[in-house]
Amino acid sequence: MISALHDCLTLPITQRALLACLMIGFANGYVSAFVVLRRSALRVGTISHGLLPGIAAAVFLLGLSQWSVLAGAAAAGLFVGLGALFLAQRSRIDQDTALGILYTAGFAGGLILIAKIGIRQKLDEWLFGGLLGMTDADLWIAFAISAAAVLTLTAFRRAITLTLFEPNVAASLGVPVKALNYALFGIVILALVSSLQAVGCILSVGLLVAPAATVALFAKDSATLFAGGGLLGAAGSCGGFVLAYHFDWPTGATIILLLGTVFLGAYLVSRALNAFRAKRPGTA
Amino acid sequence: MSAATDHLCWGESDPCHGAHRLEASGLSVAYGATLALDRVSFGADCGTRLALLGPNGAGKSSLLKALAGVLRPSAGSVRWRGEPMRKATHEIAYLPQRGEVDWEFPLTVRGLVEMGRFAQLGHWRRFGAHDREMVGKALAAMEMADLAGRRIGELSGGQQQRAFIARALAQEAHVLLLDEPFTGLDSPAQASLGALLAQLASEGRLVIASHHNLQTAGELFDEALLLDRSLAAAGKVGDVLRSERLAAAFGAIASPTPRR
Repeated sequence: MISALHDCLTLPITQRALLACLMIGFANGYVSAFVVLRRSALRVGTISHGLLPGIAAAVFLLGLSQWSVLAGAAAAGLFVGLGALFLAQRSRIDQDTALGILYTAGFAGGLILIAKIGIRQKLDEWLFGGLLGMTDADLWIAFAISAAAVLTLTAFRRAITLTLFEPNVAASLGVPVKALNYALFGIVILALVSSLQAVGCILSVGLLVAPAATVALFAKDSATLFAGGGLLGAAGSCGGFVLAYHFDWPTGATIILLLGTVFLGAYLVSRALNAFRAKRPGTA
Repeated sequence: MSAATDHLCWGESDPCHGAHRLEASGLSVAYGATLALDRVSFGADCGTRLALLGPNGAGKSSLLKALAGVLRPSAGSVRWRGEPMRKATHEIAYLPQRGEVDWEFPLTVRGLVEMGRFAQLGHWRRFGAHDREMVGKALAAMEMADLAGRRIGELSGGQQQRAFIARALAQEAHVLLLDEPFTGLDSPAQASLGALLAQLASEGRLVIASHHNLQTAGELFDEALLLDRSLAAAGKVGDVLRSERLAAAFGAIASPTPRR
């Protein structure tokens, strides 16, 4: 285990992967606070699946490169996410229903496209992540996305918290609630695209939910949720990567499994804490 | 309440009874093809408690939300102190129905009250000593200083209502728009909230609240609007309650009409 840690810290390829884990994990963990507060975990899950057809279409149109994959994923995420929001606001159909249609149809189209253009061997990487294949360009993209997501959420934290808590009060104070919702959706999709590299589109929602969900078991305020989610996301991603390296497990799956296990442990601790407090009279 | 000595109408140095007027003219709100509010016009001066009366579906909530700037009216305008309402968002505090609030949201009472300062600070101005003082004053005025560290979900119904009023005070709001504030409160909590609203108005604020209980409206409010999508009656609360339009308004909505 120690030697695995040593290897990870010294080999260039794993150094790069660890750095990616740190950035992607922190950004996704930070954004997960928003996903948890908004109670939209399942929605984000469907959008993450919707990335696949975008990737396939972009590879088909632009050829196989990191940029086309990213551009395709971002376009598909925006299309599915914002499309559903748009449909829900302009018709009798609610957002979840619209998402259900858009993402399954998209996913199906993506599978057919991938089978037809013969890039099946790359499919695994998009579905389940490929941290060890990261180039310098990938690293820069991850950095740019993480920085943009964290900075935007931090800069507008007051309005975002207010809107998440009570959109009507926010609107009464002049917060452009609709525009803010669109922007936040865009950030979630950017975070999803960045986590594609780490854990793949099937598991990416885990990275965008588990960190803040764990912190939410203890947090009294939303600021703790954002910061704690970021730290836990970074720690979980790096820890999962080292574990995967040591045991020779699939990386993305190990990260998500570790985060899930930590959540379960935290849940048990919070139960025990509550029971302990309930036994002592005079403390709330 | 102790706050009578400490004048809470912080925005004004002089007593401002009746000096500032809210004026709505021809206000309509539509949800798709359904008209929830039909050309309502009224005026109200600060220092009064105005009840919005009417059965479910009469447009009480829609009127409040239109006044608060939450809903864009399909026609008509709202002016406060002669200016369009949207220029004065920091002076207007909207307090949602308790049932519409996510009480499980990770937020302390202090955090909720601090949100009121957003009206003054905007996105980036630093939360400074003056802001802390205002939050402290608001918490003290609502007798919630001891509960400041509590999560909002752990409060009783009356305390939840007071926490939201504290948020409005921290905002230095001049107009309070409350959606069914008395619903779901036990009678001691109702009495205490009633006294509180009277005090807020006596300090120069305009208090507007939707209210569905006709039995209690007379003692809790000064003036009233009776709504049945359009304005059925307006004036002193006693006159409105005696109005022959009252039964008609409630009867008209009780008959099977499409819900909004």
